[in-house]
Amino acid sequence: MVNTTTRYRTLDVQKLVLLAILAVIFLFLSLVAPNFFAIRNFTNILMQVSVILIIASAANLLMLTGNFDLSVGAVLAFSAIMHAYLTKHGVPIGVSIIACCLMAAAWGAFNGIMVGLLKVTPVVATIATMYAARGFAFLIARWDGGANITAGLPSNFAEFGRTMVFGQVPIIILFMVAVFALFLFVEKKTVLGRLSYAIGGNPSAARLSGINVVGVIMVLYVLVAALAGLCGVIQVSRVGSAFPNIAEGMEFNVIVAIVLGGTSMMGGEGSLIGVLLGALIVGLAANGLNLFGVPYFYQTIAYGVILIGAVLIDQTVRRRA
Amino acid sequence: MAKKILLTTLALALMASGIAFANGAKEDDNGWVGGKPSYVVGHIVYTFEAQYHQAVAKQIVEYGKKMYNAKVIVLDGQGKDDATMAAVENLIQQKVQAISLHNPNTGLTTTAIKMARAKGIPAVTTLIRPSEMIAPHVQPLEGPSSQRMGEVAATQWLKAHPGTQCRVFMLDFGKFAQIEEMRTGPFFQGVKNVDPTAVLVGQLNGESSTVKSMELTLDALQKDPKINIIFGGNDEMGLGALSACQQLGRGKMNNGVPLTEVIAGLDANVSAMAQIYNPNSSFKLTHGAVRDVAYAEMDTMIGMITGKIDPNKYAETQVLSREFDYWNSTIDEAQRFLEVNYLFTGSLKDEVAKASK
Repeated sequence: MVNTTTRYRTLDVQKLVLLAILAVIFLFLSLVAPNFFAIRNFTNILMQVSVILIIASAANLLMLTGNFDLSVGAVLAFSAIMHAYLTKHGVPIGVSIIACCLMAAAWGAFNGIMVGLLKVTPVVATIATMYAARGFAFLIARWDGGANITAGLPSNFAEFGRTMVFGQVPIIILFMVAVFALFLFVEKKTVLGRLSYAIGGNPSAARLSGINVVGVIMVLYVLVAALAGLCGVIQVSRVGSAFPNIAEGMEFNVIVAIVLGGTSMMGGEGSLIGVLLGALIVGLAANGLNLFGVPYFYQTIAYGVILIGAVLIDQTVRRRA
Repeated sequence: MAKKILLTTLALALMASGIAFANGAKEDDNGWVGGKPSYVVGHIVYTFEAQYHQAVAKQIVEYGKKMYNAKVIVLDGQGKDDATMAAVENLIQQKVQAISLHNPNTGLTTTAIKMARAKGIPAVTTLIRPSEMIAPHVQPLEGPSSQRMGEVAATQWLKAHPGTQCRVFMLDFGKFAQIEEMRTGPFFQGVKNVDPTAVLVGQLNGESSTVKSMELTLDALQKDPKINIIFGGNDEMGLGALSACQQLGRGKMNNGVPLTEVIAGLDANVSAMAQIYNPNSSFKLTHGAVRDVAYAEMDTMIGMITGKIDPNKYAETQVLSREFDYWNSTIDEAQRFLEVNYLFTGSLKDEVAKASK
């Protein structure tokens, strides 16, 4: 009981620290960056963090179990290029979206089998999937006769990703809010959430107490991959063309958001609210650097500094708390 | 334990069979005059991720076989220095008779030339000149075409919006010196030739990615909504900029009259052309050279093998990079260009019709 209370207290402090960092960045950009403080820019920031947050919603639960998925970027690319391929060859867009999410989920099931059943370490298993899924993405483009699928797509291909709900809210933001709310509920109020904490806290104890550890891990891998598939479809629809190199390195953005949000890579500790704050810090920083027109090289250095700075501040404050 | 090994083997077999199935039949190695190729050469693509580089590789393979009965081993540099060097070593091991190489790292290119030469294999470079001018080079003349695109973009914008200032945003590959020299620099100079008050609002690394370019353009348009000319260092980046504009209710033209901005790309691929000839889209200019670059690379490799070209001397073969825009070139010219350069077999008019809906 004492341990649980201490853990929640630490988490609250950690969230407060993240909130404070977020507030400082927000205040700084509002005062200094041109056109930062505008509804259109906030929509823009949310659009840019939406893919990370949608995938991170499920990936955070996975990390709570002590596992992670490095194949999300590649699965996203696979789904993206497959959606373009299918719709180009006459499959209705709605059917293609469902099919692509299911195919993406199959990659997740493969990860789940490798990690949960065959006890392959998550790094090796998901890197293998990452290579295979990315390779298939390039191969599908090649079947279509080129390096990517940009021509010959149906005229309504871009409609889904560019849909404005109520004429105001981009559909990807709506998906982000819905997925985030769903996984917040799963984390706080459902058996799956509690089991994820339990498995990450002590896998052996969880197993001995009769928890279906393999089943939980498999379900989470499938959910993460299915959401990556959905994001692939949305992204490719937003740009109106499909490239197999889409989302390269995105797995690290997802992990950065989760870790920055305070979820332990060893499992058992963390929260989705923290992930939201972590993703917003990354998103705000990227937006601010672009608004200032900071060149690419400096931007990558700045990301590193922001990440290390945020983690150091967080660690210091938590130790004192 | 046995169960685990069985399951692992099954999973790997499933993956391998999928890959084998996806690859389809092995490429036909027959059809050489005299039963075998007269030459075996290597071509290292900068990255297979771009339509442009795939098209160049296709052209080299077809032209080499048809013209010289030469077999071309094509390897992917994956846009990475280590992969490019591994490809060079691979070709040296395979004892090819010459190598053509395209990589933006000038120092690496020089090292690769010297490495191949140490094994008696001559090399020709393309687009990016090596840090030491020690081998023949094929150079698409991109500078003049980029400048002309800048001039046309500014002219058309000012014709539709007289009295306004040209405000330019550019997407590049991370400011490679020679890309600056051939693409972004001349383009902006072209704009300035028409509007001396023109300003460069920003220049960011689109990483050759459509999605990244879309995100950067959204930020750039937030910073300065008055941006009216956008240049993408290749067509993929230009198309990303167009997506961003469209999501903001921009990206529009009215039968060639710019309403919101003018977008230019580079490479002249099918997707870009479909937008250029769509009278309602603001993506309106591009330029590119595929076939002639491939032919020049192949001719140079054979010339070095047969002793007609000195492999140790810098000599530049220049190739025209043909410019296309909505106002000055016809859709039939573009169709012909795509057929000849990208081996396009479809109808550009159909692509434009789809893009226009």
